[in-house]
Amino acid sequence: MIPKILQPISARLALVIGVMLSGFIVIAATEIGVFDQLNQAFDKREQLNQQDILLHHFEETILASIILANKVVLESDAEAIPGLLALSEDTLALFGQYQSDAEAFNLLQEVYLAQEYEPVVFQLRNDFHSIVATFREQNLVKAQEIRKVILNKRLNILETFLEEAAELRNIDIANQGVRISELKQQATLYSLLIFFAVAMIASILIILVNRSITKPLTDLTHAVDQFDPGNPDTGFALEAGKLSDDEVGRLARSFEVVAQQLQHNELARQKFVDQLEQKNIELERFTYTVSHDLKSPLVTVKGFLGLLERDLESGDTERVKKDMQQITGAADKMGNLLDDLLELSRIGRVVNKPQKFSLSQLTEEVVFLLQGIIDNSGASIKFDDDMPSVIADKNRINEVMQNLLENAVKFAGENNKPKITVSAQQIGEWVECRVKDNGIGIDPRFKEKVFGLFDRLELSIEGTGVGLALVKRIIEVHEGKVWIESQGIGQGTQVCFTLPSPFLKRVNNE
Amino acid sequence: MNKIASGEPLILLLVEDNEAHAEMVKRSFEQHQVSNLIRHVADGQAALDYLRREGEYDDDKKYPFPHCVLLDLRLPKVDGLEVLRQIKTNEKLRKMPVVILTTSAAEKDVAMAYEYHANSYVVKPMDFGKFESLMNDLGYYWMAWNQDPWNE
Repeated sequence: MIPKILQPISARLALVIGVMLSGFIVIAATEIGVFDQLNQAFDKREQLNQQDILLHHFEETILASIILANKVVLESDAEAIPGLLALSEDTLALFGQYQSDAEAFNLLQEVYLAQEYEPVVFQLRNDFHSIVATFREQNLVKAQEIRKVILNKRLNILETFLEEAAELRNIDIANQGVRISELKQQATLYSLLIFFAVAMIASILIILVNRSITKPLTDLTHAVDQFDPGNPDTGFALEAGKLSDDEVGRLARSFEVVAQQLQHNELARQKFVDQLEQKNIELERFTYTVSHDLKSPLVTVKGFLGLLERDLESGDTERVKKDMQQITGAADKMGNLLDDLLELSRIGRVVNKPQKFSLSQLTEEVVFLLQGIIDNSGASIKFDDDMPSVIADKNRINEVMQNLLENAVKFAGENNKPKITVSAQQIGEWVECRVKDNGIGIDPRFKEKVFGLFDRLELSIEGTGVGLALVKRIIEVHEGKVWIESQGIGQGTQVCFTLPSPFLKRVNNE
Repeated sequence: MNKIASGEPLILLLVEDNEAHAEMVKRSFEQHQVSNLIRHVADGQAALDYLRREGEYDDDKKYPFPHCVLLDLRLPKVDGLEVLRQIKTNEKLRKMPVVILTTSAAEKDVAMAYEYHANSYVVKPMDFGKFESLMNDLGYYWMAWNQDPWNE
């Protein structure tokens, strides 16, 4: 079973290896051919060498027999004839020897003109036979004549033949040597080619395997290195579509899943931490504000108790009265602060189920509730009958509206009859509501500060500084926004807030 | 030269949003051996206007330039720390001794106040006896002992 990681390259690999292998086979076959030829050449040389030996032997035999024959003929005289006859017998035996050699020679295919000069040798032997026969007949003179006429001629031909044969043989041996060295060179060349072919196949194999394994692994490592779970803008750098279906691809996919999970968890954790931090900051500010603002009336109470004691001693009844008022005022203020704080802390804890209700209906109910202070201030409140509906905790929004209308009445300014308008319109997924008055307005610099807990701009007007903090808290619990629009002091104030609309699904909350 | 020798009254600018506390400070200083004049403003913006001689505070007779500022931290409109920062970054005002007088003993407030170069930081004591004693000491310290930064 081929590992999947090697499958994409296996086709290419097979092709390359196939091509290389066929090349290799061709080269190898050629090399085998060369070796075959080389072997043949060696055989041939061996054969030539054997022929050479035979030929030498043959020559020696012929030459010996000729020398003897010459000796017989040259040194011949009547007295010596018996000895000569013995010599002649030896010579004829040598010719006989030649006969058998020549037959052996004929078995070989290349006999360097042997066939051509065999008749000459036979002729020579026959001539010698006739000379020896003449000797036997004691006819020395006649034998000399035959020798003179025939033998010289025959011997010359034989010598020429021997020389030519030697020459041809030498050429053949030399040629065979050249051929052998040529074939050796070829064999070396093909060996080198085979070596390079093997080296190339190995290299290509390594490169392909390297590509299919190392490359994806490097990519994966890079992606893992680059991955930052804390940053939602960066994903896992490997694209799922580009991943192969092999082992590394599966590994990368697993990594991606883990990375996504990690990122998801990290973002959730970050969000949670942010929320906790926000809550912590809120709590810190709350504790600080409470400790400061609740301590204040206590300092007042204790301070004026001290002053009261002194004023009682001196009998200053006017001051005694004022001291008592300060103490009562501080105690009342503390009571109000505690009530408001309780109210504020309940917003986060007690959540009524959101319901759909019309802002017109809500405003009508609040106006009815506040009828007393509205009548006393001579305020006029206008609102549309067809304001959009919202989805929210109705009791809380009631408090918001109550606070805003009360503020609008309270901060009307001297000698000014409050004119208050409540309006609302749908903006996308939200309903934006505006409570507008013609009162004292707000310096733009303090538009944010008015929402702070216990923050008050106008000390001359009754209040604990909790009202708008409460409004902000309630609207923010509903994920809405609240802000103030005012052209400045004396220009009236618009408090605006947004609440979720029931008609459109909110995307950002899902 | 100090104010006892010159016979000038000490002019204090009291920045305090709590009317009752302001009354307590004023009445403590009434008992004081050293002659003094207290001017009271109830929010941070008024304090800055007063010191810069802006708006209604350009009348030197009615609103004399103070020798020392008693500054509360939690103030309407402009916060006490911001008032302090603006005084201490203002070329003309930064020599002004500013004493923080507040109910808060929070470490953060103390640290921030000194970060902004407050000259002193005191916490309003709960006990009235101690309150009066503190006012007495502050009066003596800034009137009798402390050298006026503008004194040449």
